[in-house]
Amino acid sequence: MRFASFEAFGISIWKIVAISLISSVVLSIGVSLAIGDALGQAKAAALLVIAILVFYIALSSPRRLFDQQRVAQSRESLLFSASAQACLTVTGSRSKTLMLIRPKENALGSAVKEAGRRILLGTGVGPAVAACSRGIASYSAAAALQSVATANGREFVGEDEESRGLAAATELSMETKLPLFMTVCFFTPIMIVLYAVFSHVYQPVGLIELGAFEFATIDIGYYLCAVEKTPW
Amino acid sequence: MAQSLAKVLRRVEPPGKESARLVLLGYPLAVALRPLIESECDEVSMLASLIVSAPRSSSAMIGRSGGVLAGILERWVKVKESGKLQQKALRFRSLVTCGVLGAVTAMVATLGPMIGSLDFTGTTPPTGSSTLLYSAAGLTVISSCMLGLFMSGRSFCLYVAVAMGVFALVSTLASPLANISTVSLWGVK
Repeated sequence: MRFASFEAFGISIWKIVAISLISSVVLSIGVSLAIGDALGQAKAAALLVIAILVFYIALSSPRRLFDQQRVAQSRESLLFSASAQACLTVTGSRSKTLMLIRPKENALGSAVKEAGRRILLGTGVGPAVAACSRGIASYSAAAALQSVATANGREFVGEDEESRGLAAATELSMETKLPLFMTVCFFTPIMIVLYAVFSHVYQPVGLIELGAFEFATIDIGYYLCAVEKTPW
Repeated sequence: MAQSLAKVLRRVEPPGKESARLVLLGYPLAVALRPLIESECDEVSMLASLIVSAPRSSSAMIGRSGGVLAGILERWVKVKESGKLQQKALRFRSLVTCGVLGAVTAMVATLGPMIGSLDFTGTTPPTGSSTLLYSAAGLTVISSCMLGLFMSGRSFCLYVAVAMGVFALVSTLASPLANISTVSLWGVK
């Protein structure tokens, strides 16, 4: 769990832990009502596993959002650097450059807008950019913003190391998670049918309850294995 | 710049042609290049955004930066293409998984009641095996649907169709085996 993601979104750790606990308890109760007594003695263990997994999914959601923002910002940083460098060469003014450039990515756009607002209020370009770049998830985007503030006037070289690193990390994550989800999707229905056969569960109500359990299991697997899109 | 854009964009696919038409009609660059900026291809969108920012700075400088950026984006496009090929292979594997899932589930649901009743006590096989078959089909639909959603998004129906096709075939082929009456082995020495 990366705690930087909580800080980036301004969420208190205890608040997200409480939300995760509540959501895991509520979902466990919901699943418990849906599956009835179809699982017999194994029901308590199954519900405990479901509660733990839901807790993890809820707790890790800020990290997922943070990673998505990081991917988008690292891509945008290239465009931002290119246009900022061109703009800076022409205007020769760091503050004018910051006012003229409008990045498409929301968080980066807000940071640039906030820096512009602070400059208009009389803050120096360096301190204004330093204050606003703290909320940026991608270090290459933050570095691009800082390079406008320092006005080093270097040529645009186009560094995409962060994007490439993020893409490699996403691909590795996908290589791990996809077989895992395939296994869940393959074995869950087979195991449930075998359970129904050997427990002699042939009544429609019992079979519907087992179907609800299957849906809950695969749905949790889906969210657990969901992979962020590759940056390219 | 407008002349160059119109000349180049006229030769490319529909969003480019539309942009060229808007440039020739005299719309400002921000409006004329909107079809390209809003296109699904991120790389094209990035380059179009860079061109749109040119009137605020220098066309010459934008051109120089754009050259470097185009090199990087070209590399991204190549990686994206190889990623697409990998995705195709993974989708095919998922389709095969759905087919095997349909076959195994159908086999278990068809023959399961008979095997489950092999307690050698002469008890009759439990009734309701058709209910089990239908519910096994339902479980297969849920599973293949989720796998399809995970792999291909909207075209999940193909995965469901493959799984259900194999399920129907295997259950039809295995149904004569399920109707074999079990011989009571109670008391056989």
